[in-house]
Amino acid sequence: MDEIYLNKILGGQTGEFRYFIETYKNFAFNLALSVVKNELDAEDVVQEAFIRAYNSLSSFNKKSKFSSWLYRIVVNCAYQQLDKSKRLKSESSHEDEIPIVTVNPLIEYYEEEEKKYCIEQALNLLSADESLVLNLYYLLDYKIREITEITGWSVSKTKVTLHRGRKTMKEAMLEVFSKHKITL
Amino acid sequence: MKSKEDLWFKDILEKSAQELNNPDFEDRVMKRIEVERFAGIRISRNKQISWILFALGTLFGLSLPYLIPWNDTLFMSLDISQIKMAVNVIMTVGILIVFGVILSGSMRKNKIHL
Repeated sequence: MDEIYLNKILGGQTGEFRYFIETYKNFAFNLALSVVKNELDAEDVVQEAFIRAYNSLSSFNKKSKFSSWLYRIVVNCAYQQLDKSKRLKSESSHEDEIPIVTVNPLIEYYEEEEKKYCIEQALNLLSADESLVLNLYYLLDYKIREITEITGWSVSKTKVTLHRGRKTMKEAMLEVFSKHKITL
Repeated sequence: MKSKEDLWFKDILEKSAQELNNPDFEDRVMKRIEVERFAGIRISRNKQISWILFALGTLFGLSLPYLIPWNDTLFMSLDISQIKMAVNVIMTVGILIVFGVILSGSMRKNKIHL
């Protein structure tokens, strides 16, 4: 399916790029979010990534999956955004920053929403690398080799980060869930 | 075959997955793509025009000393050959500067930052 739309776009039908945006925006958003940990930044990252992808569509090697190629762009954009945010943060150096709550407080009462909120809080305790690799491995079902292609890391770094990610995630879940007195 | 732990992680991450809830998102991206595409075309055309104008200007500048009917007289107490030399030097420096500017502009990508 991707290839059909790809050929249409390369043939001059620019509007067909909408298909890729509709298909991959949510996965791309979750990947970006795992790195930048902020919804607004993640949305900007996804937008930038789609534009970059469109501009370099002609250089896309059709041997690999379009999604892997796109996610690689998303990951690059996300890390660039993360560096930019870190620089801005160190310039303004607000130590007592108010954490961004990504769940509407009104629906926090509902058990499922509260669980979701706690999982998000736990994920925010993970480093960008750990969170990214967990999302790629578990949410998007990528194999280690494919993750190395997307992130540009070595196999050993990917495995170590995945292992560390699992450990940190478990610890973070225990911490957050015991604080909120919730059982999974 | 996925272990129990793998399934637990999958379940946790699926629960935390979010959707990009901006109804304008597709339109915004498509609009930016269109704007950048048209800007790229316009920049490319401007580059071509600047090279054409540069070539015409250079041609005109180089032929100027031959077009002016110089008389072998003094002009503001300066010898005509000295004036010709000065005109040629100014012209050459000008051509080199403009050439550098146009060349660096042409090597840039046909892109605008919105």
